[in-house]
Formats: sequence, C-alpha cells, structure tokens
Amino acid sequence: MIVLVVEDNDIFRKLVVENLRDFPSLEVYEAATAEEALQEFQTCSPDLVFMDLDLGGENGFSVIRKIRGLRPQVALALLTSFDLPEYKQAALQYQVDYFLTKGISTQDDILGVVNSFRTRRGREGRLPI
Amino acid sequence: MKDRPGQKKIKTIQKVRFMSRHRRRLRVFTLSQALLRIVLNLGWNRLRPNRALYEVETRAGDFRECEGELAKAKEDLKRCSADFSQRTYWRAAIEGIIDEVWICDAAGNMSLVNLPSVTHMGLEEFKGKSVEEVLSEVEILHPDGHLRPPQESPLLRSLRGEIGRGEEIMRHRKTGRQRYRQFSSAPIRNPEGAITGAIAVVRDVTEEKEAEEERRKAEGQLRRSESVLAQAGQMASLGAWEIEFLDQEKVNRNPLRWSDETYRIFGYEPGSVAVDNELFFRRVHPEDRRAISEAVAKAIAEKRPYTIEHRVIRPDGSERIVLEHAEIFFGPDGKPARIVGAVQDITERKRMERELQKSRDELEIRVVERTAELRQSERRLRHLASELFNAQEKERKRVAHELHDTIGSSLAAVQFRLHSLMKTAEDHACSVELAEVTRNIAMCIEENRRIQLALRPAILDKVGILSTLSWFSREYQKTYPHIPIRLQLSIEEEAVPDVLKIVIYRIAQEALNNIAKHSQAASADIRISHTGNGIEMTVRDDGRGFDAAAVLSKENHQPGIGLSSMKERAELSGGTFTMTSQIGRGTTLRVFWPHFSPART
Repeated sequence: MIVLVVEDNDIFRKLVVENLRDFPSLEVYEAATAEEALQEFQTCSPDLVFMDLDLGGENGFSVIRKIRGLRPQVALALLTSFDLPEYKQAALQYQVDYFLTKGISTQDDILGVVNSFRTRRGREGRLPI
Repeated sequence: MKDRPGQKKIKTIQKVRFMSRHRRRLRVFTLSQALLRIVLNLGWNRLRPNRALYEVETRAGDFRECEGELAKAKEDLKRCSADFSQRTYWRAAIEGIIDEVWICDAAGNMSLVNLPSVTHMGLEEFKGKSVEEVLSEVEILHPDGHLRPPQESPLLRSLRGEIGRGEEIMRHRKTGRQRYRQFSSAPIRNPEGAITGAIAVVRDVTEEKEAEEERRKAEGQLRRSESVLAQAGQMASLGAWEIEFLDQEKVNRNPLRWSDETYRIFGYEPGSVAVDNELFFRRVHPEDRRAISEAVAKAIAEKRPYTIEHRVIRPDGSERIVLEHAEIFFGPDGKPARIVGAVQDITERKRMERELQKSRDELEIRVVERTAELRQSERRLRHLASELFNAQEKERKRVAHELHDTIGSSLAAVQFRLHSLMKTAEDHACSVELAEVTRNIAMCIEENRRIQLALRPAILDKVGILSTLSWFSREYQKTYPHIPIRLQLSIEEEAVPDVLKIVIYRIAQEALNNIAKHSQAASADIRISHTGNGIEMTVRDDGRGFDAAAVLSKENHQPGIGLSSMKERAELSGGTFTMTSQIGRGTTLRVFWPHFSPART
C-alpha cells in the first residue's frame, strides 16, 4: 500500500511520515509543494494521499481536483488547520474521504485513517469522514 | 356845445366835397351866360337891321366864342365826370381794404381816415378825436420797444418830405394789448410839387408776427431735437432710412432717404451721394443681398416688421456688420406705401461677442483641462487608495500565512508529539504535567488561529466567500448572541469574481461590526444575489437608524474610517454604495456592482 504525504511544513510532514513508516506494509512518499505533489503522485501512484489544505499559498483543493482528475478512485485525507464545518462541507464536495485537523488530530487519528482505508478496501466501500 | 376836432375834420371833408360839386356848377353857369348873350345879340340885330353886317360879325365872333366855351364846358364836364368816378373808386378802395389809411393835410390835420383805422385803434368811433386824444389811449413804440415820440410818426415825417417804411408796436394803455404794425407813408404833392398833405397806410401784422414767432420757436425746438437725435444716433451708430413706393413697378428707382448716421454707417459723408435702392444693394455684401430681398418680400406678404443682420462693404472696402429693423406702411389700396427702418452698426458689439465667446471657449478648454487634471488626480488618488487596500490585504494575508506556516504548523507538530508522549507515559505525575502542557499548547494553537482569521480568514481563499460569510456570521453570533443574523446568499460561488470576495467580506464585516456597536438592532440580514447584469449585496438591520446624509458627508472629511471605508471599497471595486437610514427605522446598506469591472491592481 502506497501513501503520499503532502505538507509544506517540514516538521509536521516528517512527523506524519515517521508515524506512517511504523507500519511495515506502508510505502510512504512525501511532497512539500503542489508541484512536487503532482509529480510524486504520478511517479508513485499512491492509494492514499494525506493532503495539507494550505500549501504555501497554494489551495489544496485545486491539487485535490487535479489528483481526482488523474485517478478518481484514490483515497484522500485532508489536513487542515481549522476544524470548521465549512471546510468539512467543502471537503465533502471534493469527495475527500478523511478530515484531520492539525493540532487536534493525534497519532491515533492518522493510524485510524490507515486502518479504515484498509478495511474499506476490503469491503469495497468508502468511509464517511 | 363846442365842436370836437374829429367833427371838424369831417366838416373839412364835406367842404372839399362841396367845392368839387360847386366847381361843376360854376362851369355850367358860365356856359349858360354865353348862350344867353348869343340869344340876346341875335334878337337885338333883328330889331336894328342897319347895323346888320357889323352885328353878324359880332355875333359870329360871339358864336365862335360860344362854341369854344361849349367845347370847354364839355371838356370840363367830361373831366369832372371822370374825376368824380375816380374819387368814388378811390373812396371805395380806401374804405374796402383791411389796411388803415390815414391822410392828412399840410397842417397835419387828418383829412381822411378809413374804418380799419378807427377799429384798429380800438376806438368806437374816430369822429371828434384829436391825435393827442388818440395817443392818450394808445402808445406807439419802435419795434425795439422804445417809445416813439409823436413827431416821428410816419405822417409827420412824410409831411417833411420823407417816404416812410417800417414797423411799429401799438400798445393800448388800458389793456396792455400789443399790436404789431407795418406802415408806409408818403407826402402828397400838388402839380407844382409842393407838399399838400401826407398819406400813410398801416397794416396790422400781429397774427403774422405771432405765427412767425411760434414758427421760429417750433423750428428752434425741432432743430434742437434733431441735433439731439443726430447726436444720439451717432453715439449709438443708429441711422434711420425711409423709402417711398411712388413707383410700384421700378422699386429701385423710388426715393430712398438716409439720415446722416446712415450715410456714415454705409461709409459716406452725409449727403455726399444720391441714395437709392441700387446704391444700398451695392453696399450690401453680395452673399447677404438675397436674404434682405427675401426678408422684405416676406415682411410685405405677412404685413409684419422685419429684422435682419447683414454685412456692409464700405466704399473703402472695410466690412461692417449692421442690424436692420424696418416696418412697412401700407396705402389705402393695400399696397406698401413706404418702409421706415433703423440701421445699427453692430460691428463692435459682434467683435466683443466673438471675443467673449473666444474667452469663454478658452475658459471652457481650461476648465476641461483642469477637470481632466482633477480626474487624473482623482484617479491617482483612487489608485492609491486601491493600492492601499490591496497592500493592506496582501500584508494581512502574508502575516496570516506566516502565523499558519511557521508557528501554527510547529505548534501542531508539538501538540502531535505531546499526544504521542502522553500515550506512552507511564509516570502518572508526568502524564498530568503533559496534559497541562497539551492544554496550554491547545490554547496557543487556538489563539494563533484566532489571530490568523482576524487578519484574513484563510477560508476565503481556500473555500470561498459564501462559506466565509457563513463562518463569520456564526462567529459573530458567538460574540453577539442577541443579534441573530439571517444569511440569504442566492448566488453561486463561481459567479462571484475572486477580486470581489475580499471586498464583500470586508464590507459585511464592517457593517456587522457597526450594527453591533451602534444600531441596537434586534436582528440583521445579509443578502447577496445576482440581479440583472450585476451583483447586489444588502445588509439590513432593524436598529435605531441615523441621519445617513449627515454621517456620510461628515465621514467624507475623514476618509478611510467607518462608513466611508465601506464606500471606498465598494467604489474602488467598481460598485455603487448607497446607505438609507431613518431614525427609528433601521439602516439598509446596498452595494451594487453593475458589470463587474475589476479595480486596478
């Protein structure tokens, strides 16, 4: 299972990547900008993408749209700094699968996403946010 | 009763008349004596035949003498008759004429006066009055008003041989009435040349004199008014003219009269040329001739005065502009009898008008230039204001990003790790401490978020204006729960241009803050809709309202704050900002962006 982490803040990105690498079955790739993300996405063809909404001024939703354009079936976990209903509403519109808030979501939440994704893959269904 | 001198004169006249009759009788008597002598001699000789021859001769002589006497008598009779009839004519003539006739003898006594002499003197009858008496009632003055001594009277002067001619003034002492008189006098001479009397004829010329005086006065007045008129005409360059249609066929041959000023206007010395219509038209600018003819024809047809402006080319080639106003007078036959007109030289006026127009135009140009400069400055100012807003937004955005990317993300990472640590911590005291730190960090994160959102809500750029308004009103509600906000956003996110989003957000933010601060409203609503060809946004509250005009005009002097900042933002983004409010009736703020035109960036 291939996972791509897109996050412009190095510290936070490393943190997420480290946590994910604890799973031996996961192949983890990372990207800091929207450009890198698209490049990496095409190179590694991930099953799951952790996507920061704020990529140094770039709108994460526009990257999501592009990714969805490339591979509609990819699972998406959105990382935001604001736990706002409006964000969740927007995430739904962009068919985001998981919603995580930086500073609130914990290591367990990230692992929960991975586990949920695995289960979902087995059930051929999509999980709600 | 004593005879009066007047009666004496009459007696003298009667005596003269008697003498002339007597003389005729004397001649008849002489003739009859001669005839008697002849008859007696004839009888005598018949009685004495012896003395026949002598007697015959004698009688023949007598007869001849008789014949001579007879012829003389006949001659006398004829002359007498002629003399008589001549005297009758004279008398009739003297009595008949209206002039006074005075005749005196050599001694100065009046021998004959006619009736006018009596009546003109103001006397009831002249009979029996002496000259002295007459002069006691009237006095005679020289024309210059000096009293004339009696010895200078025309009759007395003529008795001295003079022929008098002149004027006198007769004044009635009683009434003071004056009569002007013209007299002529001459001596009467006998065949030998000796002066036997004098005759004076006097004519009352008072009426003529007065009429002449009147005429002189009238003429004087006329001359004065004419001179005033001429002067006024010259000052105003106003001339007069008149044409009489004596000849209806050849109109141009009719006499045209020009006033002195008209001559000058047309470039002639007054009276220096004979004027007629041909001359007039020669002086009119060729391009204007037809218009004049048409104006006259139209005025005649419509029986109305006409006014026309045309150019005049003077004989020296200079051009003038004149204004003509004329009126047509019609004869009893309905045909035009004459036209009377006024002509004014308005060249100067026209020149001044042109100059005025020119300076007006120049002023207009200058105003246009200044206005353009002002517009330019205004544009520059607007551009600056726009730049200011943009810079402010950009800076806020940058700072918000910084807070998010650096502190925000780092804090998030710290919190992430703290959570992991708390999970693995075995020491209770340590895990309590960690929980405390986690709470503190969470507060920091929350505070950091609050600051970021206050600077510029990331949601606006990440999600859009509709979500931002929804988030903002929810946040607002947390702070001001007593003012429920109703959002009516009947527009698609995609229909709102990106550049307008921050403007809409800032206006809504400002408006809602004002409502919270000033309105005492119980509720407020925000509507955004797509109307017609534009986007409309209204923010309405049910608060206490205010005097919108006063506040807006006051705020104009302190730009950048409060209402005018909303207005500025609206207008800089191409919208129109209106605010209506009434005391006690709430406030409505409306911004309309017609066809969206982005502000300069």
